[in-house]
Amino acid sequence: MLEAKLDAASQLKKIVEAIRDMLGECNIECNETGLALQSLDKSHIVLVSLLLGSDGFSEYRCDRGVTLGLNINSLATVLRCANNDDILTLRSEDRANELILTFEDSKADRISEFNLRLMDIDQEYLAIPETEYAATVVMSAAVLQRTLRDLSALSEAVTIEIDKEGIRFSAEGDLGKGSTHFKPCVDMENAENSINITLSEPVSLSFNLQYFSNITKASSLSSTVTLQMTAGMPAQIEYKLPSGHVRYYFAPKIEDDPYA
Amino acid sequence: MCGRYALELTTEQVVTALESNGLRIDNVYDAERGLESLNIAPTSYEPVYYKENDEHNLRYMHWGLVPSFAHEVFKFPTHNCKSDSLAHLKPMWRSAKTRRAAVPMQGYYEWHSEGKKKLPYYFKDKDAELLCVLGIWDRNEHVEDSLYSFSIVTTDAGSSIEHVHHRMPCIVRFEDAIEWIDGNWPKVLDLIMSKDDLEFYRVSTAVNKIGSKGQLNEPLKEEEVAQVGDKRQSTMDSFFSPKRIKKE
Repeated sequence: MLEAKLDAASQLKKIVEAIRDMLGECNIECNETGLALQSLDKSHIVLVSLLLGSDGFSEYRCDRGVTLGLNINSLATVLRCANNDDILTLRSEDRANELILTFEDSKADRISEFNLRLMDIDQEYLAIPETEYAATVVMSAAVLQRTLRDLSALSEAVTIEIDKEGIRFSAEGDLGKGSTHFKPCVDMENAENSINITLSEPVSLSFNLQYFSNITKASSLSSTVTLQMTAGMPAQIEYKLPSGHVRYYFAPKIEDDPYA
Repeated sequence: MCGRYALELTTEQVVTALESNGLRIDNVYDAERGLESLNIAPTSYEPVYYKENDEHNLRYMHWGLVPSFAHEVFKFPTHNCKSDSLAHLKPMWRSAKTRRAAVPMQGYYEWHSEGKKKLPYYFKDKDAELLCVLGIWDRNEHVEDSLYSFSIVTTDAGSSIEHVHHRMPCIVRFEDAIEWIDGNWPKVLDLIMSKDDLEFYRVSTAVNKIGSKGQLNEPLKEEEVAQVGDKRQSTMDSFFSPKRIKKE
């Protein structure tokens, strides 16, 4: 069986809110190391990979592997019934067809219990190859979100260029064009405002801004985001959690190579 | 480089066209493997006119030469053979000494680089006649039983088209193709030249994608020209391979 307790329901609420727009029904795999989810969005442009390590829970027990087939929107709906500082417990018996969510306030004079029906989901998983990315940028998650929101007024696509001078976001549409450039920098007072670039070769890729904006909803989970890119490959965008991560693999816009 | 061409004709139409240009055809082989398309890419099976055992045949061959000595299909491209590589008879192309062919096509595509963009152009005969392109062929018994394959001979583009692309297939008159197939090595190398009074125009980037269909060789309308080179949204399926796991 699975029994996992979080001291603050807000931790799970934020995670589920960050991924609910992209995912429909998917399986959450639970074992002794924690909870994991891997699922493509409906149009197969973004692959979401979530890992919640058992250390991230105040109490965690999972004797044998359990698969929770869930509708993420239903999960989000139920989680909205929890206050942010409620103690949240997830429970599922072996071979059970439901997930039990319990919300307790800190004084333990209110306990709410919701039972979510589990589904048998035949899900497609993707094998993610080990990739050495040409460029890795660690920057403020809020700054990335703001930059992309600004450019989405101009176009449905953003081009990201990373070289030794920095990282440049640009977009061009009927209105005109715009760009924002960030140089690598170190902010000793506010470390999350630093921009750290590791580069083996310059890289430039274009992405759909609507999907990117959905990805940056995870900005509430972490003060920094790690963006990794290699030419002609999906970008990896990672938000670190206290024990685990929310990771997005994002397919770029490409020009077909006639000789490929 | 000639990496894409058009031949949307049935076997009967190809035979009729070649015969009317004076090519004798004793046998037709493997027509069922053929693909009639305006977007023919390497690895498809296409009609090739060649001579084997004193018979002149039309056979649908694998585009991308697999030499007789190869034990696997090479990973590097072998669908084009540079004319100067032939002249030096590099080992890869040694079948050219005895196994030469003619490849019929209605036209071919080349890509012109404009900055980061590669824009496709279609080249065809001004009178829309079938083009006759020099090729070499080989038969391989290691990879599969009697795998026939061919490569298209390319040369420097003529002055009237080199501003679009610097290479082109060797396009000759059909009577020169007969000489190319039947003649003696190395005298046939003198036949390597290309006519360049071709008509050419921009076409849709739809042809960039292998497998796309439709009237890909039609001139691009003016309003479409501005959109050429736009990027296409890729999906994760192109990068990561699926593994299907069914819940017990």
